[in-house]
Amino acid sequence: MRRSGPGVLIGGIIFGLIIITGYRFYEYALQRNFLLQANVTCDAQHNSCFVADCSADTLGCDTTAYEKITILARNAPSCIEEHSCKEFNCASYGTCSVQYCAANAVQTGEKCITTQTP
Amino acid sequence: MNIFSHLIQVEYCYNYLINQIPVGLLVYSHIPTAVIAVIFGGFLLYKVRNLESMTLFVVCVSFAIWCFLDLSSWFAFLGSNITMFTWSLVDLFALLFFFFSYYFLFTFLMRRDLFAWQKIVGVLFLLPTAISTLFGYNLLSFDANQCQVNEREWVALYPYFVEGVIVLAVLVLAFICIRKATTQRQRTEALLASTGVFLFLFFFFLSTLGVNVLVNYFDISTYAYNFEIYGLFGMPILLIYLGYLIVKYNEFNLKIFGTEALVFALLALIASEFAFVNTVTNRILISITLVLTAAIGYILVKSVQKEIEQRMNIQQLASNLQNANKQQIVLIHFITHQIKGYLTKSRNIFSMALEGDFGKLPDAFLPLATEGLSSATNGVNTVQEILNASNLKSGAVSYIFKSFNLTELIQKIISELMPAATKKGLSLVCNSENAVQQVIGDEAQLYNAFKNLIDNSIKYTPSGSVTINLESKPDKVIFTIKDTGVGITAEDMSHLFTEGGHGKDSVKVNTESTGFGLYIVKNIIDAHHGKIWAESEGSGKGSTFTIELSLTDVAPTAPEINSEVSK
Repeated sequence: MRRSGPGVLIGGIIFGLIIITGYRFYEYALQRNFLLQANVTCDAQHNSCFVADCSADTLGCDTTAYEKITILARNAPSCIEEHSCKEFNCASYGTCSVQYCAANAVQTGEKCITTQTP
Repeated sequence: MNIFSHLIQVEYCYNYLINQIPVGLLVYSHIPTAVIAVIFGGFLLYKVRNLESMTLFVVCVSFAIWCFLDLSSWFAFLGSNITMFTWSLVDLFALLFFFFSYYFLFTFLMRRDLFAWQKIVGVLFLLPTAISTLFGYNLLSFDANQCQVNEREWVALYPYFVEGVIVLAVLVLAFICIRKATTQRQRTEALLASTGVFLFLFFFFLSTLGVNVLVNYFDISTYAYNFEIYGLFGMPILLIYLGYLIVKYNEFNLKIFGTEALVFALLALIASEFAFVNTVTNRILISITLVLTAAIGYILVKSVQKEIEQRMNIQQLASNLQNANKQQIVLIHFITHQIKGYLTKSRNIFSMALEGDFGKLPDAFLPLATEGLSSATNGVNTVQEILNASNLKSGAVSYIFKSFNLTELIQKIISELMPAATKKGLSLVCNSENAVQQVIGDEAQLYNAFKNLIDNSIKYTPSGSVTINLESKPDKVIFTIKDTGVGITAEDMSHLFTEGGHGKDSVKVNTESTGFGLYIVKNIIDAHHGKIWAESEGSGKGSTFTIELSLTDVAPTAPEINSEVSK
């Protein structure tokens, strides 16, 4: 070996990586301390819901109304990721917010739907 | 059913993934590349412990970890928590192998450790990503709809900036080293290593940047990430370039690398087929192929290893033999010088005695003194001949080329040898009427050569004649000596001009023959860019020796660096 130059640098980097990896594993993998975004079914009779804009492509287009929720993964039920929650009430869970459809919240490929009765 | 079925935690994400890209292709592009990289880097570090192999090992390992992290990021069906964890680290590991790729190239090209300031700059470049990863600033949330992670845009862009800077630094380093290279070999090596590292990093940089641009600026996220896998092909390219450097230029001083690398690559490729097959039959067939290839590969590597060891042994033996030859020449010089000294003293004593320096010799002692003088003179000549041959062989003879009269030289030799011919009753004739007068060559050495030939003819001709012809052509002069002597058999002809190349029965005719005479003549003629050959119809039918000396091409070929001439 010509010189032991990179030893300290590599050692320092490995130490840093262990700290970072360990902490992130604890935070994300074990504690599930991150936000989860998902679409859940929305009651269009009571709220302004999102729905897929099928005007461009009607084939296989899902017209189910949905609302967008952001929830702390730790508190989220497993049906969120599987998109299988029948009636999800955000208020029942800690750190959960709901986004209903509004003109400034609509993204490409979706639109608002509401069947609210006055 | 496939091998991932028991790993699926989120069915929705699995279905989402298989609509985007074949899972087998993902595995095939990530796992073999990572495995080959680790095997390559590990093998190199195991065989050679130096700065280059250590930094390359870090490149290979950090790249392999990146591959596994990236693959896990694709596999959101493992659960959002695993995807968040692995996704959070990919940028950090990408920057790590970028930085160490530059580090490796620097140590490879400059043959020294990276400058301290460059290490500091590298660490400073890594710090923002490391800190943002540690505190989780780089990721915003997990998008369960698209089974991917939402990144913080400005943090996500920073690694591309650093990667771009490192790619530029690689180009600058390559440019400097190629310009500074003093030999063609250095230039080629620098070019190959730089090209390999550049392509590896550039492929990766381009593909990941392309994905980022598609996702963030064109809002194409569904299939955009598929392009990322093309960036992985940079690693095999780097390994091919490095493998070529190792095999062709013996970089890292690895003797058997080519075969081992080939076998390992083959095994990795076969093993990676497990990612595609679903049936038990196919798995069994691939397992058998894998085992057979491993067995054959092992035998192949061992046989090549044995062959290389044998080659190295032969090289060692050749080197030892060369040394032994040199020592032998030194020994011959020492012995012959000593013997020559003793013989010369004896000859001088006999000579002085015969000349009357010690008074009148008794009549009974006179024939003995004459025989003693003759014997000592022959001894000196014999030793001198061996010395000359040894000097010619070792290249210790220097030739001084100048113009001289060849006809006069031949005539001088004839007059010196005429008594010996007359004593044997031989007719010694020389025809040189239209011969060229002036030639360019080493007069002293050519004197030895011609005298040797004429003396030989006289010695090996019991009766009859020895006829010398000297004739000129426009660009050469031809010397021919024809005798009616014992002739040369076909068997003797084959080793006539070799070292110690006695004729089979020559010692019966000439008991003083050393076997070096014609070897010396040929060496001298060769040094004059001339030709010499012999013709004979066989035993007892005489022989003809011919020498052709060029009148134009007489540049010396013998080494002149050692001007020591043993006499």
